Amino acid sequence: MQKRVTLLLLASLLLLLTACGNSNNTANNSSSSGNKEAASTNNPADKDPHGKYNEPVTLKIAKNYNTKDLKLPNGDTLENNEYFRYLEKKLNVKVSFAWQTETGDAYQQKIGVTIASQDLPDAFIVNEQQLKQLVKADLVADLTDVYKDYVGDLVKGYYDSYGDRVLSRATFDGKLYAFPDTQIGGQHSFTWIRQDWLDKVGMQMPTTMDELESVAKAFIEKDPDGNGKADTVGFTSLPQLTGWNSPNTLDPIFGAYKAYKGQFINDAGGEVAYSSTLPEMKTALAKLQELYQKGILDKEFAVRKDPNELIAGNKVGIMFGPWWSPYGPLPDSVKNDMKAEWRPFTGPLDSEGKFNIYDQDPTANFLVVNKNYKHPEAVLKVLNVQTEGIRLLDPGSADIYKGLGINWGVWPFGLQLDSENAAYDVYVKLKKALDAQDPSGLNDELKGYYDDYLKNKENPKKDIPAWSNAAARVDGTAELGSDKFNIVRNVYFGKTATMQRKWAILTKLENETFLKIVLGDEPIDKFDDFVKEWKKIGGDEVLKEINEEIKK
Amino acid sequence: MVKSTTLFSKSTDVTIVVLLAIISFISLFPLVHTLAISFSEKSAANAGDVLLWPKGFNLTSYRIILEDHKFFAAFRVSVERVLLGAFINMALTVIMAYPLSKPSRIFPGRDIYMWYLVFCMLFSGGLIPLYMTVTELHLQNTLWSLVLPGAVPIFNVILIMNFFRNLPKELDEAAVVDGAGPWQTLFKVFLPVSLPSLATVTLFSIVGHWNSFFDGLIFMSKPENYPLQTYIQQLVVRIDPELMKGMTTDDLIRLSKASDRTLNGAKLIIAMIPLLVIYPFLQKYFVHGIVLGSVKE
Amino acid sequence: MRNRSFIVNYHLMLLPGIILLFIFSIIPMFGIVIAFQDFIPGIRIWEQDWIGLENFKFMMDIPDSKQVFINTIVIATSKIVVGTFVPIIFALLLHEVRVSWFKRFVQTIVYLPHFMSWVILAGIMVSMLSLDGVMNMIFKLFGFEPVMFLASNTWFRPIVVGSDVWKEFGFSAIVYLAALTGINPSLYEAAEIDGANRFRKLIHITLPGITPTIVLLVTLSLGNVLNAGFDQIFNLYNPLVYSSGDIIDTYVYRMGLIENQYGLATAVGLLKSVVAIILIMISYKLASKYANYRIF
Repeated sequence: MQKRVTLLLLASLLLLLTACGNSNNTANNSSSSGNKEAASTNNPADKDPHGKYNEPVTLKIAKNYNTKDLKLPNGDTLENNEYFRYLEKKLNVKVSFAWQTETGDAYQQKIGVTIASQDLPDAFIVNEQQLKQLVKADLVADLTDVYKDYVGDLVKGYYDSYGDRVLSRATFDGKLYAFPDTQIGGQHSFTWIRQDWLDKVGMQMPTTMDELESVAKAFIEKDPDGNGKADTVGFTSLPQLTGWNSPNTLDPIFGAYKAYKGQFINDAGGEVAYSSTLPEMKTALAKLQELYQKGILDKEFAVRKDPNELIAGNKVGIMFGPWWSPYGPLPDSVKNDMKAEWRPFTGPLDSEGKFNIYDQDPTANFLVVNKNYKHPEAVLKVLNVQTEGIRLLDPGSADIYKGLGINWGVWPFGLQLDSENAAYDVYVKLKKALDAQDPSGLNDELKGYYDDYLKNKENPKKDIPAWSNAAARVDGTAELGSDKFNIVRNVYFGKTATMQRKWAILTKLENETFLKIVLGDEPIDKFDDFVKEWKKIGGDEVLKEINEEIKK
Repeated sequence: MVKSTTLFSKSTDVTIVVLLAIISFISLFPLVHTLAISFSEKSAANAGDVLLWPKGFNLTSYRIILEDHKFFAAFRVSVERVLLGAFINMALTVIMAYPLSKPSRIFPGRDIYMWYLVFCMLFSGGLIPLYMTVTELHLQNTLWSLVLPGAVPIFNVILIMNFFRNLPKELDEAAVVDGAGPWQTLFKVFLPVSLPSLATVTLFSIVGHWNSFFDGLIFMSKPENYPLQTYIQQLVVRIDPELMKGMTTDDLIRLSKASDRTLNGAKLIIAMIPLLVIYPFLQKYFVHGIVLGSVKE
Repeated sequence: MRNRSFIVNYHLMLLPGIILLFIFSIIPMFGIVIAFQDFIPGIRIWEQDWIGLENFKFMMDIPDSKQVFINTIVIATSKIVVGTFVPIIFALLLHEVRVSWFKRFVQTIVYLPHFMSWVILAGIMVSMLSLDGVMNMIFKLFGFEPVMFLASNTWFRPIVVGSDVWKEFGFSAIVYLAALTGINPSLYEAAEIDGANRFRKLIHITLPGITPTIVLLVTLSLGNVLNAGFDQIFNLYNPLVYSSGDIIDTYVYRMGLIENQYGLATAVGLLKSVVAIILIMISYKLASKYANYRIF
């Protein structure tokens, strides 16, 4: 009886649906089942990364792209444009959207509900946590063979530039379950220093911590801005002390003592250890406490609303930041003081003459394929063609939307791929062209940097954006080629069960203790108590889980 | 003596009127301000120069919206959902409120239904199970997903039920004596006398449907099918938290400067128009509705 | 008098609504079992691992839950307190006005915001509260530093409470206005004969006259102590103000749908529902006992 009522209701609902004429959309939604054509007739033996299918293949993807400012010519849309038509022409793969969202959180939400209800598109991008869940739920395709057989040289080259650090993150029990994106390297902080101030106080570019300290001291005491007031500071920091891809952090100083904050690294015994709890950290903190006491580290750094104010006001001549610092915050300094000559250098160096850095998470997003999708290799083929298209290496697509400034995100997959040294590679190409005075080999983007460099050389700092490009792309990235690097690899980027629960507390404990030590509110020996406490309230558990997960 | 009281009273009167004028001004200010911005020049609006009157009056924003198919598609979805949704709400309210207004000695089982409704009103299973249900029925991406999950406006049913209950009993009994069945009694006798109350709850339904954005975000697969509020939420209001990960205050400032205030203002204004159109009706009925809500036994 | 066909027809009238509720309310309610599971999306609900109260323990462990709970209570309570006083004062002021066109004019204006969605209002507010917005213009006029209101943990709560009161005070005042008109005019006449001035009439007649209504509404609002307003905060907040503005409902949404912590999110949501229902029941019990208020 119950069943009949439900059936009746369903029948009437369906009638209503058809009557309303809105049902045409529902058919689109039963994503992968639509692919009826037998795989056997569709040239499976042909393992060409760019091979065209005999029969049309459909590929329904999930897409996030904000179309607010998207202006495509000829009435093209995000779902129906030249790129998509090119893919269809070249591969016979028709890409369409199972669904599309406008904002990142709408995408996450939609992914959440589609996974939970197993209503999956053919291919979609997820984060690491979702990837693990999908693998556990056995919903995504094993791509090991697909990758082996169909990966293009360009994509492979990008992945290989990271060693196995990227692909291994999508590999479970020896099987590859996703195509990860890549986050380019070289985003660590090094030291930016004002050459004009150095000249004024009559000092050389420092290399070691001691030299840096004496330069900072001179910058404070010898009135480098020449206003007759003792209003300059040595250097400043954000209250959290460190951070990737962020200016105004003290990572270079920690590095000079082989200390790294918040990293899971291999200790001497091959076990995973948490870098913030190692003895080197104590040494580094003791040094920072000393620097703060001496007033070399900005006395107000913990309460400053915005450390960039110091830079904009030209009250500081030393800043720690990544290669892109000339895009921000340094332009504010140059704007306000045309004499400001910011120079980068890879330092301070440790006692062995090395510049120690840790690496950032090389990947964050993962392109997965629905297990029921008949042509998983089509996803990789599209990715090949798309990536070559974005890099303008495919003559067939290089002229599409030329000069219209269309974002690469209009290609089907919002999956960023590049080689780890991408930032430095740009420098190498630029440098070569500059030395040869021949920009003909450069693409549009690089040509722009090239022109700006020359423009800035002729009229230094007249045009701030040109100065930014010159200082970041030529001076800044040059430092990424330094031979002094010692990169300490973070061996775990995920979140274990205990971390999900306790990491926030552990991090808070760590940050507060470290800040108090640096400010001198707590003696340096408080560090030992911190380590004990950290281990007790969950740290040991976390390390155990990580060691287990890694050994698996 | 007498004179001084009136004087005191007069000045109090003036103070009250002035206070109320200020309050009204504050109530209306954001709307008028947005209207002024939508008609202003982009640069003036972005610089924050516009207050209550447009600077550099022009219609560019509205012209841009006229060419924005997505905006109008969203507008249409909203109108459709309001029409369909409010109709279904009203129909179900009427046919459910009527039997429930019978005391349980006449309609045994009435109390069970009543508890069922209250139970459904107070508890909810959350979004994921609801989404699963909607997808199982293949309703996602259709108008039905916006209309059916909230098809029974329980609170309105209770309001109208209370209203029916307070109608004179003779009405019902006379109809029965005339040989009318329950359906006829409902439609021929009860409906005509309760039109104002029904209008009230229907207007509330209309406003509710017009204003809701979250279901559109969950159940619609493509921005083309978003209702207007969802469209505005996603393309005008929302600062994407994903985008903001690792953003500094500086970036935020830049982001807020880049936004197109005049265009956004115009979109907000157009989204308000339908409500402004029905507002006179709303105003006529909602006081009635509030009184409905506090029926005492 | 009434035959069985009447009863059958009554059942028939209720049937469509009951079925719709069954499908869209009752069936999804089984989803609360997720609160007791180590829920991995993509695996069918009945095949998940059962972990008892682990999710609730998890909730107690993370510092977020405490913060979110505090935020919810603070915001909701402030809304109730301010949202009670302002409409009362407004209603009293309006009640004193004798020019009826002015009265209607004011009413027309102040009721309007109630009908605007939070999406629209958030759009307006984001523009007004930005660095170059009107609020900062006024701030600058008085010589204050401009503020990023919606990115400031100091300002976020006052803004949420203020804008909510702004939107609702007119509408909330309707009930008080109704109560005010219900006061017996002969009381005022008697007072006037006794020579009472306006203020004394307010204290001795008007306020006592609407006190039952005030008590009733405050009692009923007890059920809202955990409802800080999802639509409003969802459209106004951003990661910079999570520490002051994240409430239970937004937290459940983010944990469940953005962070994939379904078990945790459902557990928090379930706990909230249970507490909220208890509060609602208490408040209705109180209201029916002391004010003879019955909803059905």
